Amino acid sequence: MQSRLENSHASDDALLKTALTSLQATASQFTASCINDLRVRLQYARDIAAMAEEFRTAVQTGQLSVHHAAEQASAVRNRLMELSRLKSSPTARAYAARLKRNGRSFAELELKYAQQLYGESFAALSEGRRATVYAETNRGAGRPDPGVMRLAQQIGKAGQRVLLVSLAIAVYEIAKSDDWPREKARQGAISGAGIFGGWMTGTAALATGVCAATAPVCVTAAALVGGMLVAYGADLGFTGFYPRSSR
Amino acid sequence: MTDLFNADRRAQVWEVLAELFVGKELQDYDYAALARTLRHCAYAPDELERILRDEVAPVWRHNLSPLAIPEMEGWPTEEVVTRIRQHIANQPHGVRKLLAIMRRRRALPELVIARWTRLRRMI
Repeated sequence: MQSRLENSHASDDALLKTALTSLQATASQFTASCINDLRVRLQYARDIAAMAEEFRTAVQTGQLSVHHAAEQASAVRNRLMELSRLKSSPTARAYAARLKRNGRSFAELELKYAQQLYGESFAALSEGRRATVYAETNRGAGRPDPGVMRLAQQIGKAGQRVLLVSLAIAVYEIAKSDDWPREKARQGAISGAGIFGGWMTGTAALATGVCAATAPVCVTAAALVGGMLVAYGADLGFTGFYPRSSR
Repeated sequence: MTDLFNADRRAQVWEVLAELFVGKELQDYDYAALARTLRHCAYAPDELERILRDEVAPVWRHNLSPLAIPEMEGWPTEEVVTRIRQHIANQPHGVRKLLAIMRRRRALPELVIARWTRLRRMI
C-alpha cells in the first residue's frame, strides 16, 4: 500500500517537473523574444532619427544637395526598416512578411509632400519650394510618432511580466531543492535551452518552409514546441551529466 | 460616369484614412491636407468613420501593432485601393465571418482615435 503511494507521489513529481520545465522554457523564450523585439524597435527609432540629423548636417555643411540628402534619407530609412525586421524574433519576422506592403517611392514622396505643403504638383513648384519639399521629406524620414514607440514598449512590458513567471518557477524549484547549486545550474540550462531552441526552431520553420514566411501563428507554435522540446532534452542531458546527489 | 466618380472619391478617402495608420508623427500641414481632401470628397463625418472602421482599419491596423516595425510614409494609392478592394471582396463566411465581426468591433488603436478625432474636427 505504502509502496503504491510512493509510486504515485513519484509519478506526480515527475509530471509536475515536466510541466514546470515546459512552462519555464516557454516563459524564457517569450521574455527573450519580447526584450529583443523592443530593443530592435527602439534602436530603429534612434537610428532613423540620427540618420535624418546626419543628412541635415550634410546639407548645412554643403556636402550634399538637399535633393540628394532627401533621396538618400528615404532609401536609408527603407534599408534600416528591412534590417530591423531581420533582427526581430522569428514571430515578428513572419508578421512583418505577412504585412509586407509596398511603401511609397521617392518620386511618390515628392508628389505627396508637394501636395500636402503647397497643394500643387511637384513639377509646378519653384526651386525654393522644391528645396522645402526635400527638407521636409528628410525630416519626415526620421520622425517616428511617440505613440508608436509607446506601442512598442507594450511588448517590453509583456516580456517583463512573463519574466516574473519564469523567475517564480526558478525560485520555487531552487527553494524546494536540497542541492541549490545544482538546481540553479539546471534552471539556467532549461532557460537557455528554451530561448535557444525556440529561436532556432522558429527560424528553421521559416527557412525550411514548414511554416509559410507569412504565418506568424505557425512560427510562434513551432518556436514554442521547439523551445519546450529542446529545454526538456537539455533537462534530461543535464540530469545525466550532473545526477542528483544520493544524500 | 457616376460610378467612376464615386469609385475615385472612395479611393481618395481610403488613401487619406490609411494615412492615419503610418508610423511617423503627422504634422499640422499633414492634417490640413488630409482634411482638405476629405472635404472635397464630401462624405458625412459619420460615414467616413464607418469607412475607417470597416474598410480601412482591418487592412492597415497591423502597421501599428506592437509586433510591427511600421511603414512611416504611407502607401501609394494603387496599393491602398488594391488591398482594401481585396478585403471587401474576400468577405469571410461562417466562423471566420463571426471572428471578423468581433475584430471589427475591437476599438481602433489609440493613436488612430487621437488622429481621427483631430482630423474630424477639421473636416
